[in-house]
Amino acid sequence: MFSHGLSLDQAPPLSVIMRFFLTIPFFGVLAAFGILFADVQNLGNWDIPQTVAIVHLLLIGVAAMAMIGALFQMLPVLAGAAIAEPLYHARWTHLLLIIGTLMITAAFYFNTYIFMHPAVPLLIGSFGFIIYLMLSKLAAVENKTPSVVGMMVSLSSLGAGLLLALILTAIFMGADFGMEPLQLRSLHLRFMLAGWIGTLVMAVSFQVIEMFYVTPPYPKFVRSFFPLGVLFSLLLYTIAIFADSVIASVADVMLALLFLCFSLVTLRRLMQRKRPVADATVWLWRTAMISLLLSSLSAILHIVAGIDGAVHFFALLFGYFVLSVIFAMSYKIVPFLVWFHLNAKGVLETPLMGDILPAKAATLHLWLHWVLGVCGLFLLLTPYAYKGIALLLGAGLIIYGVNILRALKIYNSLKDKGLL
Amino acid sequence: MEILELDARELSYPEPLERSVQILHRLDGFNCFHLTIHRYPRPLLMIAEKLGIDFEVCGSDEGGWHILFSKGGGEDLRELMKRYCSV
Repeated sequence: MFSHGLSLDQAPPLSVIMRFFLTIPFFGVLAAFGILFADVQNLGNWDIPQTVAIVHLLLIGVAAMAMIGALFQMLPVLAGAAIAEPLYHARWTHLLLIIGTLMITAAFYFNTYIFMHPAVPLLIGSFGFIIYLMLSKLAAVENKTPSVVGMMVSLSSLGAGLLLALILTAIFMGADFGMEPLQLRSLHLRFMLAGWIGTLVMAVSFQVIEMFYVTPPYPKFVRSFFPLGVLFSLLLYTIAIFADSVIASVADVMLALLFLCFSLVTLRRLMQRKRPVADATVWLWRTAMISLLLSSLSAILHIVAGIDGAVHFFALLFGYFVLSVIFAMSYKIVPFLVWFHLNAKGVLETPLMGDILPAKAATLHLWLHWVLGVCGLFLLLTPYAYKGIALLLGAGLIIYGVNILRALKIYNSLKDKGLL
Repeated sequence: MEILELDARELSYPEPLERSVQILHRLDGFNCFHLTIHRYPRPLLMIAEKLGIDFEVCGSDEGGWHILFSKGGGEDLRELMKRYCSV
């Protein structure tokens, strides 16, 4: 029997997470404007600076903000790794990330490469510190569950991806390391997409799918080996890309198969829920996993059958997967945090979580998100579908922002009514 | 002593947390709350600690948790927990 070892101080203040989550719609709408005003003929070319800018607005401004905010919350709660002075660290890293993201995307979008110089240290400094802070806490956790291992793989991959970004930027500015930029770019995007984002989604899913939806746990084999399998595939690719293109392709297929299997297992788990009621977040998870499944299949088609067009579907579907997971997670985490912090203050009028973020509000966003996915299919017919994608993406993120702000407003209106 | 019971093993999130907190507010020193739950409810225990409620936790044979809460429980909780856990 035990009753000690817990402290509310381990849970970071609400403002730590909310500052990251509230930045998501800001950068999402900027990305939407970026797509809207870009030359649609160029958007399918992933090397064009405007496309690079939009990709970084979405991956740093939206995905990284969501994931860092969630990690600040999840490390103490899921992994038992408390971060000292979370508000102080969240404030300065968040500010540097905002400025750095604006500068690097402006540099690419407007061809104003002067912004690249300050952007690099700002992003490397803030990301680097977050990696150090969180990895050191996770390394000290005694009980290294599969989720803890997955988070460590994810943060290590982010570190590797950052280092590659630093080298690429230096080459872009004229430095010569005797390395091929295209190979470095291939490594950078694999470490960031598969290693950082993909593995973090895996690590978090191992905990939250079972917890939120009362499903059987993921099979032990999946929990124990999938995040490490991603790391192994990335390392194999890193070695092979400079030596043997066949082995590099094998490593790529391994990565795609791991994510394909993960998506199938997660879809199966969602079908095994003890309570059959499916709210908007269940559908968002399903949408995410179907996107990941199709994205992985597209990657395999590209690698094995050499279908060039498949790489566009891989990238777009992966982006849709990431957005779907962010919305699904936010709509569970935000009402929980508002409810949790109000109860911790002894507020007797604390609303139920379902009243903090009403199902109707999340469902409206879900439908708009599905329309966005359908609009993506029209890219098969015309690149002008990007205009529709921009408008729907922006509208969806505005609704997301309104939903999050509404929850925060409830917190602010009740937080001083507590007994404690 | 009255024991308020909640078996949350079949309840889906967030009902176990919401119902448990409602019961925590009913504790008055003359009753206690026995929660049976399938996952370790770290946030709930954080709230209980903040509300000044004592608790004892032990693992159940089925892989879940028995948790006893009371206001000013002290040694009585440990004694009471022996009903549910032999450890």
